[in-house]
Amino acid sequence: MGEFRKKKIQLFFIYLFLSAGLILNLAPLAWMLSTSFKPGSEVFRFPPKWIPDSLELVNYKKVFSMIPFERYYLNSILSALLITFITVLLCMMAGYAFAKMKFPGRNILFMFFLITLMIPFQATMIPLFRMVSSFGWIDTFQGLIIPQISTAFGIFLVRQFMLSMPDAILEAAQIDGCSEMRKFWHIVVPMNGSVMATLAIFTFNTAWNNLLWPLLVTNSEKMRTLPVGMALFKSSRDIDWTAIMAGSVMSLIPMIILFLLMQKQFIRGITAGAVKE
Amino acid sequence: MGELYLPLTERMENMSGHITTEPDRILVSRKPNIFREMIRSKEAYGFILIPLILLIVFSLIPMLYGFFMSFTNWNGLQSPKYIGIENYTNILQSKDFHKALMNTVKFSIVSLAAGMGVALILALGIDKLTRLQNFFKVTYFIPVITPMVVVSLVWSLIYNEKGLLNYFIGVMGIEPVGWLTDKKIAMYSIIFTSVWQGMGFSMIIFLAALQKIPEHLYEAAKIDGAGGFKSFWNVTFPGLKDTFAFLLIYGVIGAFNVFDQIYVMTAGGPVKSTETIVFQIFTNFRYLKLGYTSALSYIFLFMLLIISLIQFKLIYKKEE
Repeated sequence: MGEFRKKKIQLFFIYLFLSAGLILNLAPLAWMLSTSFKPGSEVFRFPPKWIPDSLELVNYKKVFSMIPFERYYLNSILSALLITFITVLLCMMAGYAFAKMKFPGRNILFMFFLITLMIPFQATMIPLFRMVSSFGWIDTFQGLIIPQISTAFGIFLVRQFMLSMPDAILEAAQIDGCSEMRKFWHIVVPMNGSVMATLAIFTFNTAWNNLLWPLLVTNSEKMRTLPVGMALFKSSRDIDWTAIMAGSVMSLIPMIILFLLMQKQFIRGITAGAVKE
Repeated sequence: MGELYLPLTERMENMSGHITTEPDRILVSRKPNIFREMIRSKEAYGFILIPLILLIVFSLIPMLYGFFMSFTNWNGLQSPKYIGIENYTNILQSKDFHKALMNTVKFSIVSLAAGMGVALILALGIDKLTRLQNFFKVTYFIPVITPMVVVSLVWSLIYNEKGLLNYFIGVMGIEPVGWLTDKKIAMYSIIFTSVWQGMGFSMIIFLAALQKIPEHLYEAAKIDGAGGFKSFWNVTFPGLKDTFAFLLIYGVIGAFNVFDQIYVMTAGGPVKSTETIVFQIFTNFRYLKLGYTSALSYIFLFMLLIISLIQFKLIYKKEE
């Protein structure tokens, strides 16, 4: 009985500690949300008012008139979706080939992909930029998108996953005279939906957040993505914190919605980089 | 064993060969004819062709290109001239580079140690919960899915001289602090923000590892009379060793690449006190010092390769 009580008290303190931590953890985001509804004169007025007087959307409208926010949004959505779609498709195909097809040079080619995993983008981006600019791709969608399609990690992830796929069903299809392409679309893709979702979320999240490459490769306002647009918005001369916070809320919202709808897949997708087995 | 690796069509050929009882034919058909096999595998090559081209064009060629650029004095205007290893010696002697390297190392060590410490404490707590476990897990993960630019903007407001944080310490009777404008403090402010953003990530990884430790080990420890701390030290800690190693390597690579927070919150200042290597690559590039920047990129690449090699070794050791 004594031990049971002790355990209960211990558990109570764990809940207390974690709840306090949770409040601290969410406070910055709450501050962002509450500032986004305040009039400019109240941003630095203390004691802090966490719940704004009114839920007026003045600041939200202001963002659209101060910067071409809808254009940034469109660019971000379009580029992140395209990058994700192409990356997932390419990685599924190549991952399948490396896992289930036999061909000369397979191991060497796979090692080659693995080794390039070690090259950080930040180390090659300057020569890459010079090359992309010699293609005439600066400030274009292809310049924004194509260099962001990196397949090495995805191929590795998909291959590991597909290794455990039973051979029998593939061989049966082979005997039935299925071409590789048909097998891929009708058997491999439907059977590997979960790794596809993991990779899609991982890729989308990376592309949606990417600042460095879009910052290098875009010049004009109409090509900027959300991270670039928002970062440069802050460095403009008169910082309008309420508008910046409203813009921040709007760039966070799609991620939050997706996350709350698919928590499990999201957590798996974003941590996919660290659980490389 | 070797037979298993032949393409299925070939194995079927072998089978039919066996039926017609022509053992010699089987041997002939098994003799590796690399070109025939390559032609037969054209579908497989088709499946990996585009990734291979992308890899060569957008990773390998830039890497080689950068290597040659790093031995020139190219500034983007005049044609490049070969200057040997001058860029490398200049960088290695440059005070700015030493500063950036120190800043990067400081950022990495402090943010990793603090981040992993907090994440482990959270994971240990959440692991013990009987209810609402998923709620806590999900809510602590929200900063991880927040884009780094948004995180940096929000914290810039909080760190503002007239901002929320200075209000709170003012209530406690402490003078306002220049969180992002004092050169002794700015880096720690950025580290704090990064820890806040990243700890949910490590927490999830720790939690998964904790839940894999078999319950009977704890029971055995208890029977042996081990208390809370002893059982943590002898059961939990060894069970998390691989996770520690992994998060450490993974985190070091991420930390070395730090850019977004610096660009948005301080732009490397004040007085270069938050300038990291990637940020320096970025600014030197903006000044069109292309040869110099390429050499800097190569030094950076070399450092990360060493870290990655250690990672590779760890993974392979685990697989064996």
